[in-house]
Amino acid sequence: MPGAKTTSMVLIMLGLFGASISILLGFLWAPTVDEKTALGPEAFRIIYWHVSFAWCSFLAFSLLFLGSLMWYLKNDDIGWRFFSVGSDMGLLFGMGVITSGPIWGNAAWNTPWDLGDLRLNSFALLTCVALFLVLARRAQQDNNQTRDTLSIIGLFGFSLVPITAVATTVYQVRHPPIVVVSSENTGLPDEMLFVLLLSFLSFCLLFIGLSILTDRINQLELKMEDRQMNLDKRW
Amino acid sequence: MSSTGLIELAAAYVIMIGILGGYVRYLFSKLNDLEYRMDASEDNVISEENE
Repeated sequence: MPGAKTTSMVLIMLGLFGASISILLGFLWAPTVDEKTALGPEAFRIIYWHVSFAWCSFLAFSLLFLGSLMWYLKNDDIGWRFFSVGSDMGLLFGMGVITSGPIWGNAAWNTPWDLGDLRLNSFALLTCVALFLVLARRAQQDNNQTRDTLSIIGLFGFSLVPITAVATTVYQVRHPPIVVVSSENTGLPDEMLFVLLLSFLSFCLLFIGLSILTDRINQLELKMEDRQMNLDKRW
Repeated sequence: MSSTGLIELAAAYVIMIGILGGYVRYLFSKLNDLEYRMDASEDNVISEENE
């Protein structure tokens, strides 16, 4: 049976390969938006990675929520592993969204950020929560009190996920509504939808590979800390 | 800002590739370092037991 390192390496490589293919298809095969109706039409192609980053960040925050709940209710170590991986992945994928979003916004809306838009601000807050959790986990001593406190913040952070998800439906200012759902105002041509789904599938592989690798590193760090403590006791 | 958005498109992809590539590189170098340190500490324990 292959080890965690090999499995994660294969998944990461497959994910990166698929994500690269989706960029190429987005450039060469999928159509772009109408130049007469949209500002900066070429920038629309950012969608193929921007949306996949966003969906994977929601997966990460779900993992963070599950981990927070498991730790807070049962002090379950598996829960803490989910929490650690979820916060790291949430920060990584959240960073991808909040860096590519303003660049796209600058081309499509003539402004990188809109302080009056609920979706933009709630997502930025969500990424800030992930950043805080990652930094706090590294800065604080790893004990039950720290884990309890951080898991409560993780639970609070997750409450922003449904707000962010429905933000464009209930209070749309600038960010477009959910594009994959076909309606009068939304929907994508089949080619675009195919490339977007290919990209998301690749990002899912990447997400799983990176999660396995991050967890392996966290476990090795704990083991290393234990050994260090045993050595210190002996001396 | 370009009128077609091509510059923004390139900038966004460069940044997103950089974020992903940088994190993957960071993880693998950290894993290699940890594995090296684990092996070294195991060797140390074995040699101490032999003595």
